[in-house]
Amino acid sequence: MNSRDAILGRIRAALRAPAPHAPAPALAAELFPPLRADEALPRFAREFAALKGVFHRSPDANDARAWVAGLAARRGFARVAAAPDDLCRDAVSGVPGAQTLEREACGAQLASFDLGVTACDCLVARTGSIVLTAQSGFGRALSVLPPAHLVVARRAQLVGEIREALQLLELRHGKMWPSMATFITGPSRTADIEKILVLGAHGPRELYLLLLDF
Amino acid sequence: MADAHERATVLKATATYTSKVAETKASFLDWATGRRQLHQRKWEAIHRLDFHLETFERRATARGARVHWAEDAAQACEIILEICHRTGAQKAVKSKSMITEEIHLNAALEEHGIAVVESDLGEYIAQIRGEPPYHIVTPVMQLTKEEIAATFHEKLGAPRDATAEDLTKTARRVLREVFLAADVGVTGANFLVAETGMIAITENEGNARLVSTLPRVHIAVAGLEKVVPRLEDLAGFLPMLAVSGTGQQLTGYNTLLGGPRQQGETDGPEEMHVILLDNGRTRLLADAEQREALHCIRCGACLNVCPVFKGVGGFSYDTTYQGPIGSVITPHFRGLREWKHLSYASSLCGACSEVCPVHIDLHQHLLRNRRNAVDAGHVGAVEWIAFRFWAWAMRSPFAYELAARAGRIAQRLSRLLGVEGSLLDPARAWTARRAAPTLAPESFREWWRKRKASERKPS
Ligand code: SF4
Repeated sequence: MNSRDAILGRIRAALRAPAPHAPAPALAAELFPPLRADEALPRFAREFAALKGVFHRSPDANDARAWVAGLAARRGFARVAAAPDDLCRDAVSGVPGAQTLEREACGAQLASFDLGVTACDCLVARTGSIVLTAQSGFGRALSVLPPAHLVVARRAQLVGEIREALQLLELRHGKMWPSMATFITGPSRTADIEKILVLGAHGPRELYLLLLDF
Repeated sequence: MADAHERATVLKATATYTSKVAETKASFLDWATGRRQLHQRKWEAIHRLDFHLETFERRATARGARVHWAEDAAQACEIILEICHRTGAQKAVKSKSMITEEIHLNAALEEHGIAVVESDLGEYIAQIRGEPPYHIVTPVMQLTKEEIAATFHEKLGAPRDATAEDLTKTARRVLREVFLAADVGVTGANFLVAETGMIAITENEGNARLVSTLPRVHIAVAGLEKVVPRLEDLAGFLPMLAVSGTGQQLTGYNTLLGGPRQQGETDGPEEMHVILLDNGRTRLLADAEQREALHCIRCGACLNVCPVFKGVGGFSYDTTYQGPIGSVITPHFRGLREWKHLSYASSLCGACSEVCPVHIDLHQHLLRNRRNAVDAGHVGAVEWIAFRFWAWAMRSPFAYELAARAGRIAQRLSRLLGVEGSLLDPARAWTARRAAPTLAPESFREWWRKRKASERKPS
């Protein structure tokens, strides 16, 4: 008998003995106090800032382009790689030398960039999280390998809870999932040394969110 | 036994943890209901484990992942070595995973000439010090930054006065090269989502994302109890794991991985393997009474609140999983006879059961292990006689008093001669691992009799 069948056989045999306590019927209670629709954006901004992310809300496309150009100049981001996505392409159009990636430039080659620019699937107000996949993030590496990550999102992409984000992913990708989906909650961090918070452990030390509110 | 310095470091870390947890727990509407929900979802998963695992296998396979089943540690290592050999891998990089500690993967890889580097900062520190992790979530909880700086100074030439920030930067620089050069990335999995055939990994540093992105082969090792039926289940598990693990609302990265690079994707590994490990888990499953110990999501909360863990320290357990959960499951994984002593190292204060986010009755399971050890005849003859004697003495006031007097004399004598705790100590089974309380110079009964006598005397 192979180990698969042996293990499954043992599981079935083990489960023939019923556990002493069956659980109560399904509990559907909410884990968190409800968020009103008008609370979602301020909540997201507050949580994201508390995590040491930098949040900017743009009222129009000009403001968005100018903010990104200013950021790149201020932080000295010389090598900027953007996902081939309309929002991203437009956002970096004011940054001199910014590249919109082609398929060939991904994976390990991204290590030499200063800033990665991607879209996302949605934002979670409850926890200040950014949700992206190998599709919206243009692969797995662009959002984690460069030392800084800028996400460009539309206002309509904001949802309240983690549960809603999971439902949205399922709805959008359920038929053909990208191989990676991730909830990004703040810049890369560690507290392994004496519980002291340090940013930029292995992933981006800086995380920016540009919210297009127009 | 932990020394005073180690104990102080651990107490400081757990105090920081406790205050952060209190803050984030407050954002929950009803933590108690949350615990019941998670318990229920895990119950559902475990009680149809065969079904959910088969679903997981089918879905993951359909996405191009290869699912392997391993009976024990040796078989899991064998499967991993085979993959390495077939793909010509020389260098492996790992993200934090207790299960690869459980199967002693690093030793197996090194024995076969494959270099392996831990990339989680805490695990990396432990690895270069040549020590096992001290705590399932916080691997170097017992070390101060000065001690870590000394290690980095010795091994990597970092300055002796490096701050936590400097040390993290040094590790980042060194490990960046490791990620880029590795052929194989090894991770654990916090959850296996049956419905979608994906694994979920929770981390803060981003190293698990890199480990599963850059090398051309990704191998995930998971205990077969990690399965949850639905994607939606994560809406409860992820925040409650974060709060209980580190006091965060949500851990930095919660990543779902389903298969290697898919058609049209730009990067990611060419192969993805998931190894489902038994290694004693079906034995625990067969014990209907203790089965719920398989609900554990390895958050570490029960360790952080445990007075025994904080007193004796993580290394004293000599197990992969420390603290209350380690004491409950290790006898099932490795044998009750050799590991029953862990269940005796408990004050039965119940703090562990109180904090467990999946509502495992940990201290009750410690008692059950003790009972099972007695029933299986795993207690020594001296202990057996001692407890019989105790039972008899407790029922007879005369015998009780006699025993108390004899005990006082014996203890004084034993201390006078320096026998206590040594090999000559008749009570060694107790005193070798614990400090015996000093018996009162006078029993309550004696005191009461004297008092009565003096009351009768007119003053
Ligand atoms: S037993 Fe409960 S508290 Fe302890 S590590 Fe597991 S889930 Fe956390």
